[in-house]
Amino acid sequence: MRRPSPLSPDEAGARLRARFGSDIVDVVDQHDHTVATVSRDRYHDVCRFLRDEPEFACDYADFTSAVDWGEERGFELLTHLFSTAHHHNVRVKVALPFDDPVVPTVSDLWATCDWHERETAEMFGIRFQGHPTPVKLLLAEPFEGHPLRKDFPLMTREAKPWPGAVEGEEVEDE
Amino acid sequence: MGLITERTPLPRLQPVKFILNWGRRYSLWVMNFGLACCAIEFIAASTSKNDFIRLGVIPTAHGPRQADLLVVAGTLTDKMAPALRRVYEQMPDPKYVISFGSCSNCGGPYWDSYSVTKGVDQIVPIDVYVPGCPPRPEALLHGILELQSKIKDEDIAEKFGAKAQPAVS
Amino acid sequence: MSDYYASYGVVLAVLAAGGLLVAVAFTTARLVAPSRPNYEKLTTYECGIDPVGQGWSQSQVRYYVYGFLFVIFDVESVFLFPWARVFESLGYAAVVEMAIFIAILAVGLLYAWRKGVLRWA
Repeated sequence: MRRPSPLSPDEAGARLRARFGSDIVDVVDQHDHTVATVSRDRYHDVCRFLRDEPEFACDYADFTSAVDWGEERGFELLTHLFSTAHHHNVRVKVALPFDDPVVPTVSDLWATCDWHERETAEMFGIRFQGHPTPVKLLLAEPFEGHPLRKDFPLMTREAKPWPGAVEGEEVEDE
Repeated sequence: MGLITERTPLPRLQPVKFILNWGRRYSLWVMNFGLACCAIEFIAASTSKNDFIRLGVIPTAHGPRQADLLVVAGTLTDKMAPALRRVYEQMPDPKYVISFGSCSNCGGPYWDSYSVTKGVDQIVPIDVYVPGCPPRPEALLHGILELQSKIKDEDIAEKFGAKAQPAVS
Repeated sequence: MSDYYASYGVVLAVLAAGGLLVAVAFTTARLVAPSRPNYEKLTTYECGIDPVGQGWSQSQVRYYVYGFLFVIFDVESVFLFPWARVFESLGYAAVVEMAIFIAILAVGLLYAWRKGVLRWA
């Protein structure tokens, strides 16, 4: 059995840049994981390259999620990919503007991203173009709003003080 | 039906009331409506170390139809609430509910969540609240004993008498 | 002769006691238990959600093999039980005759085994 030899993040970054040039905005090494920030237009192509290229062979999509950086910076879509043959860990990030969070879907490349993208869509309000069933996954049907956005108000926190405060202790207002 | 309970004054007699309550409280068949971590504590309470089967609470109810007691153990989300209501409705009378754990008592550590029902008593009427996160199995045993002493003083004729209103509409 | 019928009388008494027990239990429940049927209570149980589809499901017809093998060997055992009670007084001929009977059925079982029907498809 050959031992799997993952590409180091520098090498992986070099190969990605060789193929995609300036569409790869940034490549970072996070504890031996390659974290590549790509432009929205080439997101699907980069993912397809990572899956189909024999050196990468990222056949396992771990998760798709997002981070809300606030109104100025917008959203950041994350997709973590893993290669079961070579044991690469590649994380693809896409920066999305706050008022137009639209990104093409990768559920045609990995079936697991279907559900992950449904969850990300309902929690952050990101729209995935070309997604086969863009319906709510986890939230109850009549739920309105996108809970994991930073500006989503938790009604109970506004109505009640934090119940964990000991009597006499001052609770700091955030 | 329930001819004797509803139409005759027989259940108001102390001996009859005693026997009916005795039979009811020592044979509470339970359905574990386990939702989260508290369900594991419920299971732990059913194992041999803290055994609730010796109290008559036999957890072999394969569904609500064979159960007298519903133990809601764990966090109830808004999406799950109609299912809980439906299962409660499908239990035959007389039925009792124990709310097990802080999540089902009042939302617990998820008191500020966007998707948690803060308190199962908004959905079903509760007889005994067992606090804890999660409550120890001994707490469940104590809760069952409390329920049993509550049933001891219950007047089933009054609760289900012809003139009594149904508990939940 | 009355001894013979007396033992059947015992069987009948046990049967009657069983029936009486069930009748008493259900009648007591009927008389004492409150009954509050409403529409939701009478819906089919499907773990709390609205039931979908029909209650009937289709069994696989390939299990018929187990059905008829059971019948054949059940009938064989029906013959074996009374024979077992009386063969001692009948001598060796009875043993040989029953052995032939079992052997014929065993050949049938061997055929079924070699044909592969006992394998769980």
